[in-house]
This record gives sequence, structure tokens and C-alpha cells, in this order.
Amino acid sequence: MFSHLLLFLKLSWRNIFRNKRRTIITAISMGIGLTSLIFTDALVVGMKEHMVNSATSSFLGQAQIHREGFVETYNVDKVVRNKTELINQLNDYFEVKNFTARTLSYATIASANDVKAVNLVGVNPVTEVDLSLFDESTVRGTFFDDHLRWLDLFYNSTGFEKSVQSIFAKNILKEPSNPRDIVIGMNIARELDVDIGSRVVVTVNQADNQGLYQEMFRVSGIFNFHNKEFDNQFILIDIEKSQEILNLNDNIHEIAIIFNNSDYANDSTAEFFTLFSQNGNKAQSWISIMPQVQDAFKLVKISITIVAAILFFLVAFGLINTIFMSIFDRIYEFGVLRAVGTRKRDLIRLIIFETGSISLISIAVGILMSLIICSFFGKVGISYSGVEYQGLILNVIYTRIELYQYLLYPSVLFIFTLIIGLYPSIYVARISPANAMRKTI
Amino acid sequence: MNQEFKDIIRTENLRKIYEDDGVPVEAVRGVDLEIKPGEFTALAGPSGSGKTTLMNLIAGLDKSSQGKVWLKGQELSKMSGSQLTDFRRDNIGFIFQAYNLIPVLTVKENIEYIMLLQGVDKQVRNQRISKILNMIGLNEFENRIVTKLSGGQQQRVAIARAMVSQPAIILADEPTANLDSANSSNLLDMMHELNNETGMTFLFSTHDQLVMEKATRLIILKDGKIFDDKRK
Repeated sequence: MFSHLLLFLKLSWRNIFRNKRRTIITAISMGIGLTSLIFTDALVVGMKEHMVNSATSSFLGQAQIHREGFVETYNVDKVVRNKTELINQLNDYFEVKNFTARTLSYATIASANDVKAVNLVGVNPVTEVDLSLFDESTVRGTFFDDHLRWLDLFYNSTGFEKSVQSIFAKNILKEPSNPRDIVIGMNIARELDVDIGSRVVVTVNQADNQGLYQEMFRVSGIFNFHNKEFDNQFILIDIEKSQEILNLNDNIHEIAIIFNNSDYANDSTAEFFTLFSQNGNKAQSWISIMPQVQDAFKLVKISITIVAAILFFLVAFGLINTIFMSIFDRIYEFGVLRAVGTRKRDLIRLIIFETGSISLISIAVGILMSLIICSFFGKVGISYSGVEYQGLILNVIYTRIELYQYLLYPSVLFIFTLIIGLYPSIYVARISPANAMRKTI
Repeated sequence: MNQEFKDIIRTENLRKIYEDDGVPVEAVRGVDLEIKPGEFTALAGPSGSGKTTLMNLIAGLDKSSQGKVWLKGQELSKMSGSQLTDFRRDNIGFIFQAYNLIPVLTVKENIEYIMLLQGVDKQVRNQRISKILNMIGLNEFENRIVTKLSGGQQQRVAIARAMVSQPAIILADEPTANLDSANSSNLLDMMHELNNETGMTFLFSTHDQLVMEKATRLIILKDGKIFDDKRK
């Protein structure tokens, strides 16, 4: 039995090289198909990673805690409950890497030239830098006081706990930042025709129905996220000042969190979300806060499935064409093989082996090509600068090679080609030896 | 069955009608033929006389429109497709005009092919190959790809392939048509010798006068019928 199988394996392997050019062209075209598929997947994985990173590192964080109903209403009265206890818990929670507290409210900002409706965010400049990109995106002036960030860096490197840093910054230096500093988006600055040092007036609706409140600020920084939502709508002031003007006492609206392991946020059933969703507070992962990003991933997944199906069908028709060309070249030979006693199932086996051999060569070509291309773009990246998708800023996307891409797609391709190889092999098995040989026995 | 087995090949009122562009063509018209074991028979006749069709019917490669064929006492029409395939593999050796060896295999592999299909033990296979290569004088070419051989050498390999599995019947279609007279004569002598040594039955379809001369029985076909049948 073994030598019987070996015979047909040997025959099929040698047969596919009877027309080397045809086999090479087929293998390259199939290999290109596989490369395209792996490259598309690697790009999508890279894009997903980039989008997640963009979503979580720009402002959102990987998880957030709010008072229930705040996200839907933006009602300034809906402050986080048991703030101090929560912050202590977060400081001690092993999965939490960094967190920052914020206040959030609607506001208007007015200059001598114009007035604009915006989102006012009260931030702690020291801890905010770990959770958002406002600091890095500040293109004019400074993101509050620079020396605080140097201090933060110093304490990070010395290993002091977050709470110690905060206490030190607030109580020993007694200079968190200038309370009248305001950092605004580039588009807001343009619309209001203001620059660093300009005075602006912020109007807010205070908590507990205390009515409107106005306060003057001085523009200390202008950020450019290259994201319309942020650049058009966000203004940032020191959190303590925001608590004062919103009449919040020391309350906050949001805590943004980053975990030690970013995948932790992908599991909505993780202990964190239950533990911090108590007493009227709600802890949510970025996925539930920005469901559109998750939807975008689903869309991409469907798209890649469609692309894969199209590629597999193209490969299939290419391969069937090659196999049939090779069959018609050898039709007389198949007649002879049948005449001398080759069973139908052996001919089926022969053609399947030939299809499988071409498939294996194509897979080798595809793996090699995709490794070269994906490694190249994994280092160099593909520029998506200026592209905004689902409210996220895209920049340079690097292809990301994953093991499953080299296990799943080649395996599916191999099995797929074996299945489609059945059609020509059954055709061969049905050949009548007398018809195939016609002129002779 | 035993009574029929007196004739290794037997046909009874064998007919074959083809459709050629919708027009029925009767290629074989009621052929009754009996060939005894060990006969060295030539089936001759002009082109279109029905030689190939008759050989195809005898080999079970084509189905008759009417009549029956018995080989070694077994009626072919009663066999299933796979039984017929196995029967051909085990009982009939084929020699073709264009040799029809498997071009990607070596001399040894071509000769071994049918024995591998039969599941013959490796040791037995090697013994038989060695013996037959000696007989056809191609020992030194054992590992050569067959397409690198001359026409005469390829036909020797084809004969070896046909005979190595020790079938009862050898069907040869114009085996000398592509060979020069010296090679033809050598091959025919070799086949005659094998016929004498092994007792295998040979049935040739031929135009070649040399084959007709060497045959011990000459059947002439004309218009799908046996026109003449002489034993020498």
C-alpha cells in the first residue's frame, strides 16, 4: 500500500514539472493570492492595533468610570460617587497602570472676536499626560506647566507611588499649574482668532442649578490632534479650577484608566468592571464607550472574509484551468493508464496529488513573499496620515505578522485546492480508455 | 465455464455500431472468434477493416453493441467497471504502436508500474525486473528516463512492462509500426521466444508483412468481418 501511494506521489510530483513554465506561473499566481491575503490580514491587525491605540491613548483610556447616566446626559450633577475610596482602590488595584480624574461639561468660550460652544475638560496636568495625547499634541505654548511633567518623570523613575507624586506636587510644590491657564484646540483658536496669551471667557452651567458662571482664562497652550472632534470642541483647564467654576466641590465626572495589560480591557467580564460598577458608578471598557470602533473591526473582518473568498475563487479557477490544461495534454496517457489496469481511484489520487503538490509549492511561494513584504511594511509602515476614521486619527500603520496567518490561510488554501482538485480528478477517472486512445487499443 | 476456457479468447456474434455525426457505422459485424492458449496470432486487414475496434472489444476497453466476449472463460459484459480494470491489470499485457510508456518514470519504474498496482512484493518485483531486463537486454538502462531511449529500446521496455506481470494474454497494436525492419525483426523474434517459453497468448493487430509471416495464425478482417483465418 505504501509503495503504491509512493508511486502516485512520485508520478504526480514529476508530472507537475513536465511543463515547468506552466507550473511556475500557476504557483506564483497562487502565491500572490496567498500573499495578498496574508498582507491584508497583517495590515488589518496593524490597523486594529493602531486604532485601539489611537482610541485609548489619545483621550479615552482603556476604561472609564462615570456616574451611571452621565455619558448619556453630560449632566454636571452626575458626579462619580465615593471618589476618594475609588481612587484609593485604583491605586491598589494590581491591573491598573495609570489613571486620571476629569471633570466634563458643556461650555461656551468667547474671545473679543467670536464665541463658540465647546466641551470643557478639567484635567490634572500631572496624571493626564499618561492618559492622553493633549500634551504631545500641544503645538503652541505649553500643556500647563512643563516643570510638573519633569517632576512626574522623576517620580516615575524613582518609583514613588502615584498618590505620593500627587501629594508632593500639590502640597509641597503648591503649584499644580496656573489656575487660569487654558489649553484649547487649534480650530477653536482659529475661529476665535486667539493665540498664546490671549484672554478668553468661559461660561458654564453650574451644578445644583446654580445658574451660569463666567470666568476669564489666558490661553497657555494650543493643541492640534488632527482630529476634528478634538480640535473643534475641546478646551482644557486645571481640574481644581473646573471644580470651582462648576460648583462641584472636589467631585469629578470621569476617571480614565490604563491597564498594565491592554488586552484586559477587551474582556468586559473582567473583575475590574464589576468591582468598580457599584454605588451608582459604572466602569466601562473603551469597547463599550466607543462601540463604533468595534463595529468598524467587525466590518473589516467581514471585508477580509469577502476578500479571502474572492481570492480563493480566483486561485481555484486558475488552478482548475492549469490542471485541465495538463489533463488535456495527457488525455491519451490517461487512456493508456486505465487500459493497463489503473483504477479510477488511483487516477483521482494522482490528480489530487498533483493539485496538492502545486498547492504546496504555491504556499511556499506565498509564505516567502508575504514574509518579505509584511516584514518590510512592518518596519517602514504605510502612511495613513491625515486620515480620520470613526473619530480616530490614523497615522503610520505597520503590518503585524501573526502566527495564525501562516497556519490558517495556507491550510485553508491547501484544503480548498484539494477540494477543487476533485472536479478535474473525477473528470479524468471517467475517461473511457477507448475514447482517450481512439486510434489504438 | 471450463468448456469455454478451452479458448482463452472467444467472441460470439460480436458487433459494434458507432454513431459518426449521427450516422450509424457498423465497425464490427458479427465476429465469431476462438483463440487457443499460447497462440501467436496476427489480426490483419486494411485500414477501417475493424481491427482496432475488435481489439478494443476483446480487451474490454469498449462495450459491444451486440454479442459477447469471453477471456479465460469469463464473460466481460458481466463484470463491473472495477472488476474489468482489475481483470485487465492481471490478465492482459498491452503493447502499443507509440510505446506509451510513462514518460516521467525510468525504465525500471515503468516495468514495475503494473506490479505495484497488483501489490506484488518488493523482492518478487525486483527479481522479475532483473530477469526481464536481461531478456530485453536493457540492464544498463534500468535507471534511465524512458524518453531518453531510442524507439526500439522504448518498445522493448513496453514489451517488458506488458509481460512482467505474467499475464495470460498480450494484445499488441501495430507494435512494429514505428520501428525499422531490423528492430522489428528482433522484437518479433524476442516475442516469439517469450511465447514459446511462457506459453502466453499473443494477438497482434498489424499491417506489417513481417508480423504476418512470423505469426502462427493469421486472421484477415475485411469490412468488420473475418475474411480469412489460417493456422500455419
